[in-house]
Amino acid sequence: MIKLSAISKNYQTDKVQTRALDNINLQVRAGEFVSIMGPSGCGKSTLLNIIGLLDRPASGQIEINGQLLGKYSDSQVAKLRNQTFGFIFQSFHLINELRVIDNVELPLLYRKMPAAERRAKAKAALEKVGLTARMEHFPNQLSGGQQQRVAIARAMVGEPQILLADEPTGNLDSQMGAEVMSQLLALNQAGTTIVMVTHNEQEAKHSNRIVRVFDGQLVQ
Amino acid sequence: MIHHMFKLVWQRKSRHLLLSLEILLAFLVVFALCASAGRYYQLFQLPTGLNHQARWLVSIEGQVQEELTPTATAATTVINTESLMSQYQRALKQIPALQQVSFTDMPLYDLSRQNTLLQRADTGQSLEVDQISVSDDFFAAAELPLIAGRSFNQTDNGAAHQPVVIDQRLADTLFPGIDPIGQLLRDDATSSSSSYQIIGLVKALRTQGELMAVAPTIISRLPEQSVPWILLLQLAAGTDRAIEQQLLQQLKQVRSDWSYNIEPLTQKRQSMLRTQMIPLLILAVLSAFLLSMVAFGLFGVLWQHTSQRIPELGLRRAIGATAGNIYWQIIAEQLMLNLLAVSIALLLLVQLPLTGVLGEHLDWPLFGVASLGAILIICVLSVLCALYPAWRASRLTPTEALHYE
Ligand SMILES: Nc1ncnc2c1ncn2[C@@H]1O[C@H](COP(=O)(O)OP(=O)(O)O)[C@@H](O)[C@H]1O
Ligand SMILES: [Mg+2]
Repeated sequence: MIKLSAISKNYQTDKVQTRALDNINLQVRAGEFVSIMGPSGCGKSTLLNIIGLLDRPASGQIEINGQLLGKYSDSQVAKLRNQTFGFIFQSFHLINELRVIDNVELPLLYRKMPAAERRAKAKAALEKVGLTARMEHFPNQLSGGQQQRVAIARAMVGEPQILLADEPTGNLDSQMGAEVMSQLLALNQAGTTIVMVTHNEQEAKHSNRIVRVFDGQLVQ
Repeated sequence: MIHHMFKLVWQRKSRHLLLSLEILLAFLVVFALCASAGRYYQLFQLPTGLNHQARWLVSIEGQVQEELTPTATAATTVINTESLMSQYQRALKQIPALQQVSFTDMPLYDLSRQNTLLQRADTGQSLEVDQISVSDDFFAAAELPLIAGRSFNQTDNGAAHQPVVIDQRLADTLFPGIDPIGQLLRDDATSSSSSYQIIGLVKALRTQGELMAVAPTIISRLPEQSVPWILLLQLAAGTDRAIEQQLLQQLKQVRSDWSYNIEPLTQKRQSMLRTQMIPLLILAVLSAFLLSMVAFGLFGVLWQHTSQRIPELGLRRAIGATAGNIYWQIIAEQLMLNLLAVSIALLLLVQLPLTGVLGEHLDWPLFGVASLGAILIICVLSVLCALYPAWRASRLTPTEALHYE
């Protein structure tokens, strides 16, 4: 489903060049639940962002569903982000001025879809994460765990094939973290491919496979 | 999407309050400018009752006070019983290019005006009017057409009531729905309490020219024996200023002790228009100054707002917005904010034509045009200010934007 070949990525800050990723080869199969682990600053987020097309590698190739990603235009990449991937961030990234339901609808705004259908899909997604009652709240009226579940609903509302989660429980206490994890497991059970960055060995154990990164390189 | 953006703008209204206020104020000033310019345009389209082409205006200076009273005039013309007016006529008509000679007591295309309070003789209804006295030939010399009745002629000598010609505005105000011809007017301001009979009607006579507001006007007949003050001459089309030397010669033949100021009416008109444009120019300069201040402020605030929301924009990119989506969203939101501020301003401004405080100076068509003009200017301005912040925000990659501080 996703195939990374010889991916490298550098960051240039002032005069220091950081090699964030170095010759990464990674394959994720459909339906898998892959955990990416490693010490802070080793390049996990960078790797996840490159998989999700939020960032471009310095060199290397990305294949998605057998399609080699070459010189894709901005709108083609945007379409892939919108339809193939769902993103969950450590800091939720909800828009505080929008109600929960409007936040969940957001990805569908970038598709051609009637307003009523958007709303229905958003409601269904919120139902799956058990937040129907909080639909009309604003994000800052919810607990951290609830906010992350809103973010999951937003990531899933467009029915993406792949869910990318960057330390989704990093900002949550263990009970809220467990809630979020069970949501992710349920989604994986339902067929969604998940790639998750985590620090938590317990959480990683739930996944099919653990990929370890150290200093920008994969370790076997 | 529009509904979505409206929600965002609305939710951030407190943050946008200052910006909206700034837009609102700028809109009011630009509206004033557009409305004034529009009003000038409207006035410019109205008839003046004057043809300025191939016309010359002569003002006579040096008359001594005694000469202005009829008795003194009689004394100085002992030798020559012919009136000064006809002496000038005769002298000037020696020039072949000269077609009409006429006299008035008011300079044309000039700021000075003369007012008096008139009363309708039958009802006593009174009205403040502009007043000008002219000789019989004035209508021909100015090309001032009568739309009803007649102009002055010899038959008016010794008439019981002084004959007058009025303009349409006076007729509409004092005699609505009545034929004004033959009606009587009283002027209580003068000691003699003279009475006038209306013998003719003109569309308008605006002595200050194109940019003068329409005012009810009464035109009375200059007595043939009066001392000339101002001459309006019509010369053959294409006559140039070289004729002025000849004119002066002929004028001096009548009274060489008086001085004559000769000027083409076209030139007087031009300098009058310039004078009348000054307030508009001042307003334009003020608006330009204010608009540039607003533009700087707008740019600064927009820059700050877009910087603050870059993580939000990064998220949008991450979930499928293209760079173009981001760019247009910022500009569209700015336009929306504009329209909110402008709607409030319009709600205030619409009171002007509704209550009619400015009368004909701000009628509904002018209000509409001025509003549209001001909306256009303000929208263009704020879109221009939004272009760069929007471009910068849309250019960031999603990861850069998501982690922007
Ligand atoms: N935008 C950036 N600019 C410069 N350096 C960066 C940037 N993002 C990440 N890095 C560097 O790249 C390395 C990998 O970062 P990251 O992928 O965020 O690590 P992790 O998610 O594993 O903590 C780190 O050394 C980090 O400092
Ligand atoms: Mg990270």
